[in-house]
Amino acid sequence: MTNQILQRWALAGLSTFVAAGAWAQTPKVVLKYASDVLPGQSSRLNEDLIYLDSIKFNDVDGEAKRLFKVPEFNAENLQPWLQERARVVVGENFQLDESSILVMNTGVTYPKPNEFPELGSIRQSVNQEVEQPSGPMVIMSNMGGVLYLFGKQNQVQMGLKVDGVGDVEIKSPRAGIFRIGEGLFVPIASVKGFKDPAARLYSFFRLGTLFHESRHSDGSGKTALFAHAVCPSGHDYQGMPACDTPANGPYRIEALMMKSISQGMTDLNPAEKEVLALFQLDAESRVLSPLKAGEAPKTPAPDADLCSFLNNLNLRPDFCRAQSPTEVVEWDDTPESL
Amino acid sequence: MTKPQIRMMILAALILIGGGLFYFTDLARMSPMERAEEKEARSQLRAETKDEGEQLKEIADIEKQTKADPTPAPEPKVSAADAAILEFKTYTQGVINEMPRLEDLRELPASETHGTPKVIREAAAQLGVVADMVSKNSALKPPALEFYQKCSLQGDFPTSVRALCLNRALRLYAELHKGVWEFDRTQIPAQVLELSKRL
Repeated sequence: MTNQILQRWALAGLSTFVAAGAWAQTPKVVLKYASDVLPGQSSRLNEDLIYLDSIKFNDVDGEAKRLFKVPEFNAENLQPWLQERARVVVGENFQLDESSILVMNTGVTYPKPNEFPELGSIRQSVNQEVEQPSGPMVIMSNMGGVLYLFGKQNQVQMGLKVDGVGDVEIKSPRAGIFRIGEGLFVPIASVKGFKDPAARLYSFFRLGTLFHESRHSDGSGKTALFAHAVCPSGHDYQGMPACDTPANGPYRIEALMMKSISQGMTDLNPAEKEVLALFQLDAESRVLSPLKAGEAPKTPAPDADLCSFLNNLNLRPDFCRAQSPTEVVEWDDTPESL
Repeated sequence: MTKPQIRMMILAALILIGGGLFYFTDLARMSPMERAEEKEARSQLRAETKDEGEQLKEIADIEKQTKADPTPAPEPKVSAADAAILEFKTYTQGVINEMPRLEDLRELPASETHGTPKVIREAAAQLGVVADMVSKNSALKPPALEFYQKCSLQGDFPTSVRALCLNRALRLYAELHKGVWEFDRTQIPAQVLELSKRL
């Protein structure tokens, strides 16, 4: 009897210790949340960022490492990459008006003062929404970059007053101010087995979106914000600002995230892998530039891609033969800064 | 006829009668469903080892025996394997029917096309279910190949969906037929093929 009581106490103590440990865990990427961000949303995003630390990536051909400019494509290096581009999060009802917009300096000389991306599509270019019966719902947008360009256009240095965070200076597209909305947390699909927002597939989706939007914090002059291009006629998304001119823009960043997670997380089930595969292809289908061929993997990976798989079976179809090099467009991702 | 020959004939007759008795008493012990399965299995075994004339004769014999059996005839039964294939084919036909079309993508508001649109996410989940079913039952690979081939040839499907289907079709074809699926290049645009190579 006494033993049983002791065991129960020990178990209770252990559970409390574990729960306290999980609660006390903080993400390595620190986002400052405005007071209007719903607590459920900020805690979910923080859980994703904590999870990011444990994701296993496999960058088979080194393309992700090259484009992210990191020594190795792993969680340890991706977290500082993200932190440089994402800092402050506001809610979808955040009012962008005279009460929140600050003019910190006037008569400011910006670098590349006459070079701007095509401004007509900028707003839509950095704003992700999802249509719901009740109307469009914000997924995520990179507000910091847009405000930086607004300041550059008007030769003033902008700032943003954010309740719960304070005044945020905007000296570069890397101000990293993101707006998030309910669209980031709605079910991925109505199919049974895909409705749990706590599932890791949702974390991959939200992190993919976060990395995509973070790429909008890069670039300078005409390439500032890595703004999307209007998709050409005949494209699935023809006429919409849903494509990338370069092969190193937000869609490629998102696609590489999906691919390297799918290759690296060996315990993914076939359904999860298939969802990641279609997310990757949807993102890559928007890249208008040809892609630079990655390096041959150091260790043979017969299932790295379709041609590796077929060649490994000695089938070697003609469409897998090396093609003549085509011109790859990649933009300089160095951000301009005051 | 010599004595040893007569002995051999009697022995052979006894073996035949005994075997027959064992066959029918064994059948009689079974439930109607088990009996039908047993008969099917035995007739399949014979079909593999004997010529067509013998097979037909034996099937006729079994049918005669079944008619003579006083227990009610079992309902026509689809084997579990066939049922799984049928279920899979029904499901995948539903996936084909529900798959978003290009016109659905082009009608979306611009802001929704910035990220992966909901219709593509739904398609991803449906394709995820298909992949899951195939991974759990290798008998579904041939109908899965048919599904992926059909999906990759659908001109009004989104490029990403077609590319995923083409990738899966080429992989499955290689696995099942030890060769490369020689698809009609005029039916699959270069961008679908290029994209399919990224997985």
